[in-house]
Amino acid sequence: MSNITVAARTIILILLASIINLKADEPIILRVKEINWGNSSDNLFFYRPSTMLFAQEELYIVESGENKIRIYGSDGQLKRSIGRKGSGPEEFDTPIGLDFYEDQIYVSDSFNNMIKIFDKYGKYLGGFKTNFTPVQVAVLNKEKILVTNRPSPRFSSEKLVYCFNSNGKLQWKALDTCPASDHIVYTLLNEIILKKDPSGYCYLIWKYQNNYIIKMDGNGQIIEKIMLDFRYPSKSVDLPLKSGRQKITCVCWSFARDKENFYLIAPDYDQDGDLRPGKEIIKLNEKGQITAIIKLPLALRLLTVNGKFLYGIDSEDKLHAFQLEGT
Amino acid sequence: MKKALALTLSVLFILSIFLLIPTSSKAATKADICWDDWARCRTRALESDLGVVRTTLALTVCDVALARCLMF
Repeated sequence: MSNITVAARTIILILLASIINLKADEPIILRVKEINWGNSSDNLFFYRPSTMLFAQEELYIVESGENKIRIYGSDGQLKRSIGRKGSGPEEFDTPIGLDFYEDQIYVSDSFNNMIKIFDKYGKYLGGFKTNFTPVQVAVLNKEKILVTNRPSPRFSSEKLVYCFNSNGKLQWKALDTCPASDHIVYTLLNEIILKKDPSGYCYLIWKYQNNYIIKMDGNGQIIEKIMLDFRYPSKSVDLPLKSGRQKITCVCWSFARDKENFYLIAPDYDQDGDLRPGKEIIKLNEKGQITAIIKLPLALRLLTVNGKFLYGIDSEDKLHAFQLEGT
Repeated sequence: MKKALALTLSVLFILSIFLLIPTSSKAATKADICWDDWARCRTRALESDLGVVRTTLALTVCDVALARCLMF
């Protein structure tokens, strides 16, 4: 009888401990306050923006549709613009990716098939050709320039990430493409987002299907596969394909990395049942655990984070600046 | 008669080679344009804020446009 009592007490204690533990791990809810950016009553609009990055107290926005890089000060004032349409040194044909490293700006000039390098004032310093259409760029150091590829169903044996030195010599290539029987599913499954952090690592997340983040070093070695918290709100949708309907899971619309945290824009359903960027940003720690959920007044599709400030582009391609409340 | 026929066929054969070479290079150029347009169409669809289903439809439109471009 006493044995049963002891066992019952032990079970109750274990249950209580796990409840307390669960309570302690529950993500906190953070709210934001929109801040006036650039002393303008209207939000700034960009024509097909593709990347935004906050570096050295400046906000860089790649405006693909205008073939320009816009650079704003932390006061929201436009400081300078780089580029125009063309194939010359200070010209772009659909720039998509951008990174900043040691006072230099690296831009993936997609349809000129080039990575172009500028000083922070916009002076062209050089560049190199790629034999694929470059999408995103992350510079770990001057000899480790990582570039993502959007593989074409036309070619086999393409990789998702290529690393070049500053002369454009290929150092390595990594990550096999995900196979798929359908061209469109193949395209979606191989959509990846690349970010880096100051410690010299890069992080890759697949927009669809894979619920993990890859941590990679400068030699293309996978250091860690960070599984996303089981509570992470991925969402699925049926794709209307020629061959019929196929379910796909959308994991993340875009993400930012700041101070050992990941900020993922989680997907959500719109009124038509389609998946679009949601109004929540999920903050995860190094282990992939959710530490906070940031509630936004509107959905953002692009994001960059600088401490307690969030900068984002909404679905109408307007810029918003937010400050996290209670931080 | 046989010789004349053989000669005519040979001339036609050689001429057809000369006529086909520029045509095939033109076709290659056109195919390149088609693939370039397709890549731009795909990039626009993927970089946009369309929902996942709408992106799928946009990518299908890109594929259809590519097929039409390559055929005509």
